[in-house]
Amino acid sequence: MNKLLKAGFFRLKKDIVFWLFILITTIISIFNLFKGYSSKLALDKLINEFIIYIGFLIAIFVSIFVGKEHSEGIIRNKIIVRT
Amino acid sequence: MEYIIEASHLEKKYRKFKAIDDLSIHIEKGSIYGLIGKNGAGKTTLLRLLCGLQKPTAGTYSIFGISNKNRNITEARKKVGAVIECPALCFDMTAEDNLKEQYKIIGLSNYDNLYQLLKLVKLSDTGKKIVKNFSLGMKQRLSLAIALIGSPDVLILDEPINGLDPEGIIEMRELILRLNKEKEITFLISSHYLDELSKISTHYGFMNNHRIVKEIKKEELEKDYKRKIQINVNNVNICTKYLEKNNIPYKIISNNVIDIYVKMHVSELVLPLSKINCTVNNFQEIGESLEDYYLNLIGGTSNE
Repeated sequence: MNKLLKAGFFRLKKDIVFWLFILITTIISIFNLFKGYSSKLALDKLINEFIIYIGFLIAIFVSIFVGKEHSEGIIRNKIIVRT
Repeated sequence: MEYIIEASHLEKKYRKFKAIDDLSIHIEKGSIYGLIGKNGAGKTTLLRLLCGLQKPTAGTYSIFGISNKNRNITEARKKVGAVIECPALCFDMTAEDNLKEQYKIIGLSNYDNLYQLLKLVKLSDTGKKIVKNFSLGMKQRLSLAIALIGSPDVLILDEPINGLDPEGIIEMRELILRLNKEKEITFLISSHYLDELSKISTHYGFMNNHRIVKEIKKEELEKDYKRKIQINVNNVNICTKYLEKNNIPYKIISNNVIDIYVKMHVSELVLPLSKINCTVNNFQEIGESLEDYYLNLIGGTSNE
C-alpha cells in the first residue's frame, strides 16, 4: 500500500491539473478571506462557504485523476506487478 | 524439460461463452514463444489469465512451478513483466518519469538501471518530451522498458508490433532478440504478423477455437514445411503432358508457371523437357511459410 501511495504522490506532483486546482483553491481562499474580512462575516459561515467550493473542486479533480489512471491502463499495470 | 509457464485444461467462461476452452500450454525456459491465432481466438484472454488480471473458471496454470491456486503465485508473478493490450503509460509525464513511477510502484528505492533501460529502448534522448507526443513505436518501446523494471525472467507481450512502421518493427525485433540472448528472458508474444513472428520465435503455439491446437518447436516446424518447386516454362502444355506421363503431382499457376510438389534435381527435369522442345526458363525451390502452415492447420478460410 505504501508503494502505491508513494507512486500516487509522485504522479500527483507531476500532474498539471493538480497544480491548476491548487492554484484555483488558493485564489478562492484568498478571495474568501478578503470577502470575509470586508463583510465581517462570522468565521464558521466563512469556512462553510469555502468548504462547498473545495468539495466541488476535489470531486472534479479526483474523478479526472483516477479516471485517467484507469483509462491509461495504469491500474492494470499495478495489478500485474502485484504490489 | 523445465517449463516456466505451464497450463492444463484451462477454461474461461463469460456466462455461456467460452473465451478459452480446455487449453494447455507449455513454455520452456529461454524460449521465445509465439502465440498465433486469429482475432477472438482467445489470445489476449489467455495472457490476461496468466498475468492474474482474470481468474480461470476451470483448470490450472503454474508459473515457475507454482500453481495459480497456491498463495505464493504472487511472488512468482513478480518475476513476470507484461505489456497487455495498449501500453500502460502516463501520457502527461516524460519517459523518465514514467519509469520512475514504475520503480516506485514496484518498491525499488533507487533508480538503478533507469538510464540504461532508456538507452536500451533508444529513448535516452527524449528529454522533456511528454509521452503524449511520442510516436506509437516509442510508446511501445517505453512500455517494454517499464515491463523490464525489476529484471523479470519472463516477458508477456500482447501484439508488441501492432501499428509499428517497418523500422519500428525491426527495432522491436532486435530488442526482443537481444533481451532473449543477453538477459536470457523468456518471451511469450502474441501477434498477427506471422512473418515477423517466424523471424524471432523458437516455439509456436497455434490457437484456434479458443484452444491451442498445436505446439511446435521451430526446428520441427521447419521439417514439417512442405516444399515445392516452381518452374517457368515456355510451353505449359508439353510440360504438363510430360509431368502426367511420369506421375508427378503439379499445379498450373499461370500461363508459364507450374508448381511441382516433388523433390527433384534441376537436371532431372530440365534435360528430358528440353528433349521434347520445352525450355525451362526458371527453376526455384520454395518452402512453405508460417502463414501457409497456419492456414493449413486451422483450415484456412473455410473456418471463418
